[in-house]
Amino acid sequence: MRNFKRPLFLVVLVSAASWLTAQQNFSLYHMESLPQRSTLNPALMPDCKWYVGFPGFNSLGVQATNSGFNLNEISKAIDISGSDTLLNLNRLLNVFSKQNYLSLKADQTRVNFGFRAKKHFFTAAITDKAGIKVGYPKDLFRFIIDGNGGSNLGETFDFRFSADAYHYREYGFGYAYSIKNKLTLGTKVKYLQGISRAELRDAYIKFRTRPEDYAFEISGNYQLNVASSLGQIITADGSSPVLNATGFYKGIKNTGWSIDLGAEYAFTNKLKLSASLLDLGYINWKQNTTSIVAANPNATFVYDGFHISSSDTAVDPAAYFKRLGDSLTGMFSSDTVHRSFRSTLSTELMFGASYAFRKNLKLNALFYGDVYNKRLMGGLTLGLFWRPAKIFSLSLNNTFYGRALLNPGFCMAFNLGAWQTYISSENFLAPLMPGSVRGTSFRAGWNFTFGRSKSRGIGTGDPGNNKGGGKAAPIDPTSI
Amino acid sequence: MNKITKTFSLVLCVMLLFAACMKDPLGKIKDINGVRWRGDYAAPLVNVDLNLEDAVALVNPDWVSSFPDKTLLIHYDKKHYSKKGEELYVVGDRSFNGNIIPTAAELSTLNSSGAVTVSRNMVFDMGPGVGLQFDSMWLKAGTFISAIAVSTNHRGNVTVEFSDLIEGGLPVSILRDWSSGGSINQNLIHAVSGIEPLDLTKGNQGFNQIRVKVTWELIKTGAVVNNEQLKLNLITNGLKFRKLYGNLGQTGLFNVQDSMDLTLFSNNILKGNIVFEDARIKVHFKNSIGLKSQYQIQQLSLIAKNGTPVAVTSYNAVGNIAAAPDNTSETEITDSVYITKASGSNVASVMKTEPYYLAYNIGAAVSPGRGYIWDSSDIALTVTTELPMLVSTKDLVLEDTSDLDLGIGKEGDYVEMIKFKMNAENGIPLGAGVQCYFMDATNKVLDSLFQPFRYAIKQADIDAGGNVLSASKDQWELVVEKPRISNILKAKRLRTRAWIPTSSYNGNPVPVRITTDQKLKFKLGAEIILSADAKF
Repeated sequence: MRNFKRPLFLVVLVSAASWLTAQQNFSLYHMESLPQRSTLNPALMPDCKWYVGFPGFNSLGVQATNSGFNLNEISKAIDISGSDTLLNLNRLLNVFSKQNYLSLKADQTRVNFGFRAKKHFFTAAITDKAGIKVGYPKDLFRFIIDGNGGSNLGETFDFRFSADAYHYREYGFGYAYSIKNKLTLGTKVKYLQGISRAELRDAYIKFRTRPEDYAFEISGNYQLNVASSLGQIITADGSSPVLNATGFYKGIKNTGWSIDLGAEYAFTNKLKLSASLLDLGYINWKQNTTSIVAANPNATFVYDGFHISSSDTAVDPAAYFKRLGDSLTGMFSSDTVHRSFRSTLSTELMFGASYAFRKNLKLNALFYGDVYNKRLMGGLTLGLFWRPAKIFSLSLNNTFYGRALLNPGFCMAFNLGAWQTYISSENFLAPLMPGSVRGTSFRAGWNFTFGRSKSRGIGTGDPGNNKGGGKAAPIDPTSI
Repeated sequence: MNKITKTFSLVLCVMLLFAACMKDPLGKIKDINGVRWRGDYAAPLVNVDLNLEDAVALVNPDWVSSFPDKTLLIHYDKKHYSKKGEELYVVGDRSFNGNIIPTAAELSTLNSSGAVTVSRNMVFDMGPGVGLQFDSMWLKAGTFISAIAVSTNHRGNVTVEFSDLIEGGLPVSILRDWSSGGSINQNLIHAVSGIEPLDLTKGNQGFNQIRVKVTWELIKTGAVVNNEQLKLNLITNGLKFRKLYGNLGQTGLFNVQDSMDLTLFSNNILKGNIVFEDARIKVHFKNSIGLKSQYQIQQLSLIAKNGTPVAVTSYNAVGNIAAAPDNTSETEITDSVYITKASGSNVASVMKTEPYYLAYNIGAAVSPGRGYIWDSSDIALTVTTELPMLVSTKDLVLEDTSDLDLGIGKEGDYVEMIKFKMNAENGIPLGAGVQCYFMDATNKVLDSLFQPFRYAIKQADIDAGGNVLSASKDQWELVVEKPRISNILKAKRLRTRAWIPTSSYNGNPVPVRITTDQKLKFKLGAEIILSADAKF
């Protein structure tokens, strides 16, 4: 039995830890030769006159995150006691934040192209985005492991759960404008087609134990919204849903808009600052919607012991048990309605800084934040961008995200004539140090870029006056 | 390789080196061979809010009830029943004979007219016994058999009519005929169906007699001679009544000699003293016989532990039990002999000596006179010792010892602490203290539950008359920690001792009145700390 239990335990532990923490494509942000960087800041123009993404494979990304814990943190909860190595469950709780998240995202850009017109740069892209994000509370484990007694008497355990699963298609039209080679402003307007959505909102159970008599005070609420352009996911009769999936979607009523805003300012030839606000928008879900909502929102239930009383058990014990059961089930009973709802996108915020202290070497910083469940999740990336040759550029960085301090990432781009390929990954050292891994991401794609500078040196010309033709004045004054 | 390339490569190498030098947590995690855990859990157990009426209803003991003034009452009952009506009075099977011989004038009419009707009225005695006079019976079963033996030369018929036995509103009548002369033997049978009233008062005696009318019609078909004769043998078989009316004599109903165990006093776990201020004895009759009866209490004694009897005094040893009123169905009436301190009896004072038994000898018989009885009528005798809860206790301790097996093995090692938390509000002038002694197989005490001992529930405050003024409020915690838990888990025997004090007034014991509307409220919760170093 021992031989069986131990590997099983390890598998569970390692599997849990292998969910990795949020790793955006931070490495991409400062890759000046890649058109895809405009997805992180619409003011960041590529160093070419025009480009076309390889259809279906110009940007394919996946990303997995776990904000909860990694193996290093688990190892801190281990007690060595003689010949025994014991996992201290109480200390293990320290690896969790108050609210923890697991997420998995994927996106694929089907069509992508852009071109420069003097100081203007226009882009267009069609991208499918899908993801799932689940939030779970530390209190759930604290309740199970530490218990509700002792110092936890009188404390309210907040079991707050969240879940978002989405799939939508984005038709984006970007525009960037450079003002006197100093300031570049950009925006991208995106028309959204919602394909499927499931979201668990305001789902919580609050549990408090009264110190004076140990009575349980329980309250709760939940709302599950589901919609799909492909058909009714939750059917009225409980039968299996029939979804009609097609390649391109016509007649979709689940639509919305979002906008990306960005700016970049060159203080000097060496120092540039940038900022962007991404995915500020929403989708109105009107088609095939189902909402399962708590029939008694925020209902409260108090259990103060098995009642032996004149008004309950003594009069009619069966009725007492029925009432007790009804109170509990009533608290979690639901109503099903079909009504439209609006989901907002997960808005992201970025502040970037770049300092070119050598001709082909830059020091970069990027602060990243996203807002989820009214909480700002932030991260900081510090890195180097190096372009040793015209055909090759490399970004190396490390991200400090959540409570994970070592998250090295990279992005490499190769330009072989017009053909450009790139690959980026975060936590690329994960195989060497699995213990510290919280998250990873991977992105790759092919582009065809035209009209790039033939020099890798620092340009000084106005991008609007850039005529190409081998002049050492690339589009971006600080690009290499 | 230029300088930048070297720098960049250096950064990359440093990162790789740093990563390589990081302590591999997997190795440590792989060594895990168990878990360490400590949890503290609390839960409410029971929430009691009961008045004594509901508490009694919940447990539903047949030895607790209450007076109209809500005073709670403990009572010991013993019931006895008399024989039922159909056992007391049996309608025996009867056989009567009658003989009909036509007169000369009737034969002359037959000869001259060709036909004659010979009619005779007969009266038979249904008397059940000496001193009993049945006037009416409502029969529910049985058979009347009229066996006829006719010697005749003529065709004819015979009708036997029971004028006073009514079926369907008409007298019962049976007809038989024959087509030619000869010897004719036939049984004319009437089986009682439903309830058939039979009037036994129409004979010249006025009771116990049944009338029968025999009508013999002869139609001349042969020579008219002098040997015509009809013999009638009337037999009653298995007659049973539903109701009987008459003078039913002075029939004995019961004579009970028995005793009653007064468990409260004789139980060995009782120590100390409990004083009932107004103990009573009730001899109760429930009579469903429509006749006045007479009871006689020949003995009523309370027996002490050593067997010494003390006669209960001041009660009516002989008296009447009223007759149940007559009606279309069975009725009943109750009558009691109530022996109390108020009636001058010594019962209350003798009961304070805590006797073990009540011995009694009680008889009853129907009083002479007319009345009725149903087949299921009887008299139920109930002897009751009533202990109204106007009580005081002095050092009252109940104790019991039993084997103990908590059935908890090694799992008990995980328990670090158990805590019970009690919030009590008691409106009953009785308190309760419980101590559990955990002992080994040789009855050596290993540990006890309350250290130090304390009452679990305090008694309510009372006035000088023993009536409750206000409920007592109390809150306590009982903490049992690991060393004591080990002792308890090792225990093989459990001695439970309970103290039940009554409220006192200004420090002096007074009898307290315990009523059904007095209330006890308490909440009991438990907290447990579990800890484990559990290896896989």
